Amino acid sequence: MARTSVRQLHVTVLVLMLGALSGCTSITKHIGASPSPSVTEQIGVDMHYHQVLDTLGPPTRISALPDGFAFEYESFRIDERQLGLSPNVKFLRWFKLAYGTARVARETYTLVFDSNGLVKAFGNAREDQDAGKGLAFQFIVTVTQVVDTRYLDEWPGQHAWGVSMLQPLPVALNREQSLDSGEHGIEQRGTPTSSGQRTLEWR
Amino acid sequence: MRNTLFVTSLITGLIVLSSGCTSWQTDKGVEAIWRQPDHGQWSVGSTTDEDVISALGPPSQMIALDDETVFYYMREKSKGQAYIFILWNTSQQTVEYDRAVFFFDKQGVLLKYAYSKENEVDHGEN
Repeated sequence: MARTSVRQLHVTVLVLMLGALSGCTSITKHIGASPSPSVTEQIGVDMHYHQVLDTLGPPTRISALPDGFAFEYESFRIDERQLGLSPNVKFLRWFKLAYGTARVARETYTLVFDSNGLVKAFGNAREDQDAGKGLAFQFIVTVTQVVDTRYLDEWPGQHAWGVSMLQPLPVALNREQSLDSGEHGIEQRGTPTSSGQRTLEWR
Repeated sequence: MRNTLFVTSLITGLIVLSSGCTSWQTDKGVEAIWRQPDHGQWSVGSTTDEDVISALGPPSQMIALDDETVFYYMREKSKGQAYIFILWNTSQQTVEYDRAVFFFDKQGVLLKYAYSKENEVDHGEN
């Protein structure tokens, strides 16, 4: 009799756990590809940009600079882990409270060329950063990010130049300093608009 | 005991019925004509910007450097799949870029061109 009670208790706990832990979710995004370290090791100062293109391929971004130009290669991996909790009661069992944390692994490689097309500076960064946390109340079968990482996976500027004058007014008026046009410098994706040339777009 | 079994069966059934999988693919940007075997062959020093634009169409972006002009073509392919089992769900998405860049001098003559490395690009149709 006692053994039956323990067994019932175990089953009940298991059912409650199954009912409560109703949505562990893993979301991964790979965006772009950066050159591997073994390839970037071949790059050096005074190398011509023709050789750089042969070695690394086209960059993510190109921009004119006052006395030359720049290439930037960039890629991301976004990992979000969520824990979903759902009360095992009538109506609410169809919904879950999802808590998520996200990390971003970013690789960036930047080269600056002089007016003769020769490398005068280059550098790379490999970073694993905390991308934030999020909490959402959602339908139980929903699998979507609760951490907002749209600033990293938005459309690249090359796709969006045609609508640049249809942007919100602060952005459209700041077009002369736009970092998406390839003529006013380069910035990494996700750079806050409260600094540099985008300060006027801050909202 | 019967009630417990019923609840267990109900939850198990709910999980089985609600599970599923999905996959998606989106393509953005210009068509990657430069990957087609019969596209024009470029010759540094003689191909012009007019040849390139008539073969590949308008570029995704045109960039004015000091003495050169860049035609930047880009195709973006996003593929993903998700598996939903209620208790455990997973979603994976990969965004790949296929790029072609062409550098021209002030007279519009090709100085240099380059394509994305083959290992960065999936050429699968779907």
